[in-house]
Amino acid sequence: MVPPRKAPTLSTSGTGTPRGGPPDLIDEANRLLLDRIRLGLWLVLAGVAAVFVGELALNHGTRPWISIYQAANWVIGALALAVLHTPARRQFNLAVAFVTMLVTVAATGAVGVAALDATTPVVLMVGLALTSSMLVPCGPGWQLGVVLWVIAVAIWTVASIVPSPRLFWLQYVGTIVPTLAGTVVIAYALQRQRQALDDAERERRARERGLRDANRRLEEEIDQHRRTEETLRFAMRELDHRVKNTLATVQSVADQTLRGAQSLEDFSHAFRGRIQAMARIHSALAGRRWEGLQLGELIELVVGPYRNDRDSVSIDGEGAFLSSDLVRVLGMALHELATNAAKYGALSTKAGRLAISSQVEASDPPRLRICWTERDGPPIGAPTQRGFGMRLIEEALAYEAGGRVGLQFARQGVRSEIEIPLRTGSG
Amino acid sequence: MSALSLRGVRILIVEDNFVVADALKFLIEGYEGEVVAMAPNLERAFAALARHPVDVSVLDINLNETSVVPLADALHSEGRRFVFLSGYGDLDLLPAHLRDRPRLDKPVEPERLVRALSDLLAAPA
Repeated sequence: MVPPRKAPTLSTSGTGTPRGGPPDLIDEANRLLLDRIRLGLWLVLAGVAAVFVGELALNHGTRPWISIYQAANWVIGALALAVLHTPARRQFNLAVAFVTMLVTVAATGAVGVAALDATTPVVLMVGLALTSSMLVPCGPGWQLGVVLWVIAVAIWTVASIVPSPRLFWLQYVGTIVPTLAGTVVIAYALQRQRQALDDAERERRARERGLRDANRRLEEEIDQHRRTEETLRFAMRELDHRVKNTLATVQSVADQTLRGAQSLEDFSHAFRGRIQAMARIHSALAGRRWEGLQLGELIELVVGPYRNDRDSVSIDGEGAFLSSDLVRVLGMALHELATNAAKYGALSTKAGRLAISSQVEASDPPRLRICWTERDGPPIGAPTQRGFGMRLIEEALAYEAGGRVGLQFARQGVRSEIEIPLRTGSG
Repeated sequence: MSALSLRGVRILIVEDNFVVADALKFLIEGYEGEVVAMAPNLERAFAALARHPVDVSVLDINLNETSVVPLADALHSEGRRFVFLSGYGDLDLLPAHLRDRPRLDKPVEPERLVRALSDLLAAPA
């Protein structure tokens, strides 16, 4: 037995077509409802006809009113069957079915009054059984149970009232067997309908779940897109900021280089060298997503181009990872040392040697020491004036990174000691 | 050109980039102004203000990813003169009450800077 529960779309409450469901599902439910109603009406007609024929055969001409009631009942049932053909007219179909059932019950009641015999309860019970089996919105097992119970009461009533066995069997075969058969068919149809609806419901849920999943994925994608756009906008602003700063720096470098230049050629050479160094540092930093560079990489980048041969520059010591800000300012200082060495110092002759060593002192914060030692170059003297290049070496690191720079123009070569606190800002 | 002069004006430069600060210093000195200090960050800027008499300050808005606003606010509330230097987008860093302060775009045009400083000094504080 199927447990009692409300069939999802077979409610008789008259709300019309269920909203929200897929159209094919609604069509299917309406069609099944109409089938049920028509089957019920066919059974009513069969039952009424059987009793009508029995009445004519057994009591021909003696009780005309009974035949008239039954004929009227039959005609109304037939008319109802004639107008019930469109599944989509759900309200109309249900109303016609109810009216026909009420007419049946009323007619059989009238027959019972006129006949004063068992025909009344039997047909009344059959009518009720059909009504309940057709329209009560609960599970087919329960509907079948109701019908069986009604039939049992009808049999008991007939058996206790009807005087002749012949009449009993006629009424029994004429009404109860079709009713029982119809009910079984209805129960089977209901079961199938319920199955179909359940399947459809499952499918609908799965589809809904699929849609929800797709929707969620889409929302996630949109979200991702929005985040990307935000990041991009931020990056654009950051880029613009950098470009403006770079332009400001380039303008300043030009101004300051021009101030110290002896000639246009001198300016061009120094300016180009500084811009080239800035460009190389920029490219290397961009390649590392602006996170920074290893000290060794930076030295190679800035000093490398001034190497005369393999042995002219030696680099050794501890490496350290430098933030991009530090790379920028230390790179410019090293560039100035290197151009100076290439112009006047150890890198201006084949014999000259430059040694760059580094170590990281484990203090708090750790301090990076770089020792720049030139030897075997031409003899040099102290510069006559402190130009922009020297300020870049001596002051820029102190200004931006809190470093200390010692610079000595010894006879055997330039010597510079650079000391920078790592991992802290300037100050 | 000869009308523009910063003779005797004591100026504080707050700018995180040494090269830019150095060039500004020379620029201002070219117009006979006196750069009393250059500061790459807020801490050194406040220290310099405490130590030196300053007539007008030149403030880079974005100091190595730190906003110059606390310093500008302090100067603003004390009624002291200052001019902003900014790159694109830096304006977003400024609160509404500082947006109508004099502001110059980077890279700065020398004559504009000098004119902005002169105008500031000519106006009542």
